[in-house]
Amino acid sequence: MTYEEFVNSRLGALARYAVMLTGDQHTAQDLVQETMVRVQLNWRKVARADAPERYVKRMMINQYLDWRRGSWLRRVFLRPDADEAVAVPVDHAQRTADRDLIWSVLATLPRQQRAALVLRYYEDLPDGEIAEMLGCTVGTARGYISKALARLRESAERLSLGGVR
Amino acid sequence: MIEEELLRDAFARHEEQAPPLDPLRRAIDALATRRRRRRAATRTGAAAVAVALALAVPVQLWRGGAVADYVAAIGVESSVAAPSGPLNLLLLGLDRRGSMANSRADTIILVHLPADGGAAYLISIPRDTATEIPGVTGTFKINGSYTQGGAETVRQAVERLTGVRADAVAEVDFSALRSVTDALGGLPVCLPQRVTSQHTGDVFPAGCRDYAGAQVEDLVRQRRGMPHGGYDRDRLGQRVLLGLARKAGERSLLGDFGTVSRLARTPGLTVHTGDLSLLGLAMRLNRVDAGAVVGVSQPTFNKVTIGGESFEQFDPEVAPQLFAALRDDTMSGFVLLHPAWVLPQE
Repeated sequence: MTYEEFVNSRLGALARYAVMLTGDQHTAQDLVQETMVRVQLNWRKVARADAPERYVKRMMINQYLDWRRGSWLRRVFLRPDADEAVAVPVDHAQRTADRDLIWSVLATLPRQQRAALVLRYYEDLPDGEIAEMLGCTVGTARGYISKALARLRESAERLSLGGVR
Repeated sequence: MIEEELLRDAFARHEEQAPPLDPLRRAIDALATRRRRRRAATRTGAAAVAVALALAVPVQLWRGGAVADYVAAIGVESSVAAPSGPLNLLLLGLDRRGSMANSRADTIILVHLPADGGAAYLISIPRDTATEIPGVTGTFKINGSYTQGGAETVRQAVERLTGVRADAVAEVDFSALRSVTDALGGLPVCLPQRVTSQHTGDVFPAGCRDYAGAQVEDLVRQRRGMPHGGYDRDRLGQRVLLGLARKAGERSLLGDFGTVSRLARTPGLTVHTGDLSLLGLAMRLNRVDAGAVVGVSQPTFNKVTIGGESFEQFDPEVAPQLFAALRDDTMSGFVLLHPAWVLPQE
């Protein structure tokens, strides 16, 4: 597979995946862009991986987790902090409000936890592969997911006064 | 659990927030191009030295304050120590036909840089020189030792022959010589007599002319049809290298980033530097005077027949003096004593 072929067929999926990880379009764009530049410059190595797309997604996860350490793109941190962006439930149908609420609460999670949720509920990966993608043990990966779910439940209850149920 | 269902739902619904792909793709390409350019620039130092080594065009490329400026420009540590003592670089001109098994080192030149700088000596080793290969029965022509084990085997063969261990080895495909010549806009080559190509029928008149890459490649391949065969070809190779040195000096290649980075990407150039840093070598090459590149080769044939096969060997009297001069770093004395071994220059 050439780099061109890879981009033609997979860029859309990678862009969506980046939105799930970052929670907003601009940060997603930064994440995809930064990752794909490295993919392009090192394509031969990427293409040699057993599953190139998986490899690239792992690169993206690592990049996303690195933001936490401030190792690249300081401007990411100049954006409003995710915590402040937690929205008050809007006046949509209750079901829609719940979904927006979930999205807002996701933004408050530690990055590893959010990444674990994306891998489980968006990518539908089994625990073993989630652990591999995050570079941790299966136990740790499971811990991220259960903590994230608990926090989600708790925050949702607090914010919507028990609306999620 | 309802949270799981809500999560899947929320993810699916936000897929539409994905950034638009066309601008994203353009941004990726633009950024990658910028980085590739920057990366090429940082490699240029090493690659330029590779070219310099490979083609024995030390010289003006690294003269004056140029190295310091260059080092600053590419942001490399400037605390690299230039190696002291004499340096010996082995240059292999390869006639590559596919795999190593089909490639021969037809041009073998030991580039010797004395410790006091100011000169470079190009010592041609005839390609038919008889050599042994440890662990392999029989006698081999030295150009065929490349087929047996690549650059390292040739290095060892040259070491057994001369007692001089090459500090670095550069492999150059003849095709690379062609690309480099064209990138430099041709080379001035001076011929003592007319050469008619056995391959293309082209005629290269006596005297100094500028030649394009294809012509230079043709020229360094000429052996049959030359009055002294491989011996003449070795001297043609030296003349081409002298032209290269002159051209690099004229062009003040160092300031010409476009050309240098094109040279840097020439396929068919390989340099093995062992323990030496390329930058250290570059700083060392800086001291070589353009006018003092001296071609040295054996002026007479010394045929020997081993096992029914004809080989070349070094002159049993003079060659030991040459090798001693290389080891003792007294080449200026050797060329003074043996002018017949020195390539005449106009």
